[in-house]
Amino acid sequence: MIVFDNVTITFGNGTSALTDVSFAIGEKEFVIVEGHSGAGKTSMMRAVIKDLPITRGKIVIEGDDISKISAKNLPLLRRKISVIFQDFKLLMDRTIAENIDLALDIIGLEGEIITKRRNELLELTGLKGKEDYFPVQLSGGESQRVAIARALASQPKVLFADEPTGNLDAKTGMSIIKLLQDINEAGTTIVMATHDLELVKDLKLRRLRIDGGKLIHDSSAHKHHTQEKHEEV
Amino acid sequence: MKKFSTTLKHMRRYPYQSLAAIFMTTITFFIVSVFAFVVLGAHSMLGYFESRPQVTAFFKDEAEMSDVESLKTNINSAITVDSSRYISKDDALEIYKKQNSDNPLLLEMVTADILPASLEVSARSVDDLESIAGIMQKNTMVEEVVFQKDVIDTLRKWVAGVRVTGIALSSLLIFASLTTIIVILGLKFTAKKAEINTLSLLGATSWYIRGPFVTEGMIYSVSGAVLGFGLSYLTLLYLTPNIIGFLQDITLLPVPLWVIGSLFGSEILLACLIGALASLIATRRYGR
Repeated sequence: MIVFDNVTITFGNGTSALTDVSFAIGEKEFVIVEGHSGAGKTSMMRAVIKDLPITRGKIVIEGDDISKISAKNLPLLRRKISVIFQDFKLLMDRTIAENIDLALDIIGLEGEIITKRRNELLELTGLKGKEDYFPVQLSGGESQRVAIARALASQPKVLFADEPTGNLDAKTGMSIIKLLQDINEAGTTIVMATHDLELVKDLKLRRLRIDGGKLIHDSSAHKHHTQEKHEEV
Repeated sequence: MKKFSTTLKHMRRYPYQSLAAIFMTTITFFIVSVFAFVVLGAHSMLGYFESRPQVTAFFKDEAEMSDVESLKTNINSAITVDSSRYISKDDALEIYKKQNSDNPLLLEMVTADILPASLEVSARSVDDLESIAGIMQKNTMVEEVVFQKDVIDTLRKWVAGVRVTGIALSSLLIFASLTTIIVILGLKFTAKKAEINTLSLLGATSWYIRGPFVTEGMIYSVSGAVLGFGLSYLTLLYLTPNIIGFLQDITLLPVPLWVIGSLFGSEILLACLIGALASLIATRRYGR
């Protein structure tokens, strides 16, 4: 579903964010992208939604090379692949309901359909009753839930979560991961970037480890390689 | 409707910027309207004079009626005229009395003897005026010849001058309005950069993001057009009695409704164009 083919991202000053990164993510997978701060996780997510241009290689999503997607069609890509950010990017002068309604309005929904869909999202993310709150009145975990609800408004096929537990305590962080797992079980592919290796160590999920802009470990490839070895023996 | 309320929210959030934009466009459209009224009026005045091309010959005191008739015959044999009217000394006194009825002192001092008899000839075209005047001037019984060719030429020059000044000043003010709206919308667009970035990441189309700014630009310019035109029209209504008194026989006022409507419609169209263009430039320029 998502293919990174020797993707390299180099900034103007010569610094490389990603170097020859290749991997593939299938439909309905839940993948954790691990790496320390500055490893290249955020650049990878920004590249997927064409918020950061790639220097070499290609990113293919559902068979489409995203470098060939025109500016006019970019909004369609961004509705198909949603990203939630560590800093939530909520509009602070709007209520929770208005933040979610905005995302629904963008995709062209109207009136009662917006209200119905918003209530479903609030229910899913456990925010029922908080629709009239402003972001400043919410905790970090609740703000992250709003960001998730808003990202799900367009019913994306893939949800990229950039450090969704970054500013949260362990318990709240786990509740966010549980929410992402529920969303994944409902059929959405999840790619979650995190530097908190401790928090995700017990999760039986595929892991991609990035360091210095390079993919240094892919647990699915390792598993595949180990299986092949066993078969040979 | 939702987009419109978003636009109004933008405007309320920065009231002084919105006022500055509306103020600038109001001044622009006030000046545009004033010049439009002046040019239209001057054109009508020119039309009035052109439709009544007239030459007047004032006779010497010793001129007889036969001299007048001879002059008439000379003119009619050379040029086809619209009409001609002889005004005797007594007729001239009557006209003088009528014109100065509110000033008895002036009436006491004047008798028919000191007023010259005259012949007013209305030509078919302005171009004939010079020929008629030439025939009149050759007549020995004619003291002085007055004709409107000079008045029309002067008026034409004035109309051209007013038109050029109006176009230059209006263009300058339209440019000033355009840049004012561009700067104000540009500042607002830049101030909302983070929000716009979020909208873009959520999959908003370019028009979804720029639409409220374009609407805002059009509200500024259309409000300015309505206010500017309204002010100039009120000024015209206020000055109407004085203008009518000044122009006397030339009936320029009241301006026909269809003229007012066409001018107002044209200014609204121009305002929409200015608002849309300014906001598109602002969102493109600052949205990079």
